[in-house]
Amino acid sequence: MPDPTFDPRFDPAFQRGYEPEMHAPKAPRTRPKVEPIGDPPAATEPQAPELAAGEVTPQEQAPLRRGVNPYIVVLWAVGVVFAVAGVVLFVLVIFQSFSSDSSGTQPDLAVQSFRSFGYLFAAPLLTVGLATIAGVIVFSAARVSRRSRAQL
Amino acid sequence: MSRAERSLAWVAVLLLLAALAITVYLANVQVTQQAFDLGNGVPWSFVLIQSAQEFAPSFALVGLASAVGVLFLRAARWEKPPVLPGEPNEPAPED
Repeated sequence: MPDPTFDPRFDPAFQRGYEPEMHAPKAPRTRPKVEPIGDPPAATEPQAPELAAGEVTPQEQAPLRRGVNPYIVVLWAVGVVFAVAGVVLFVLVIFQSFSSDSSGTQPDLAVQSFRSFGYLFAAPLLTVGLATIAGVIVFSAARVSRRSRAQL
Repeated sequence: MSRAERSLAWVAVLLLLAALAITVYLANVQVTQQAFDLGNGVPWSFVLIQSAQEFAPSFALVGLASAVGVLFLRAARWEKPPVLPGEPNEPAPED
């Protein structure tokens, strides 16, 4: 009986003609090298640049931990806090100016400073907060898209 | 921190400080109720106050945006830290 040829891509133990006494590996088995079938297609994309001596490829680097970008977390917090602070500040200033004007007395410097701060900063806070939230969403979407394209 | 990030951070700090200073200045002007002589020459103090009133929101807006921009730059440059030799690997998200 001729020696059966096993498909190197799969474990021989699950292929026809496998005899454990004959074909069991003596040494710890390593993953067989898969030979390419046919000629590889012509490269259409530019090849990666030559690495300098001592430089490592991304595959040779240490495995990366799947983690959350801390700056994205901070940006989410900043966006939400800015947007909410803008609205709250504006409402507070309006409320405060209506409640103090009824007495007819001139407000002191602290109250007037708060009023000016509210009028000047409420709209920028709201604008930057909303823009930050939108930016973080776009940033995250671009990262996910880049990662899924890299996995293909 | 790169040079661009440092520059942006300085711009943010300066603009926000300028906006805060203008805020306090305008509040002080309103409290003291200064009178402007509009009939004799250019009322420079009035021009200054009007300009400050117009520019302060822009300073605040660009300052806040610059501060957030620094965070965006840091987020774009951030890389996941490598797994240390003795550390257990986290399970894959598909598991």
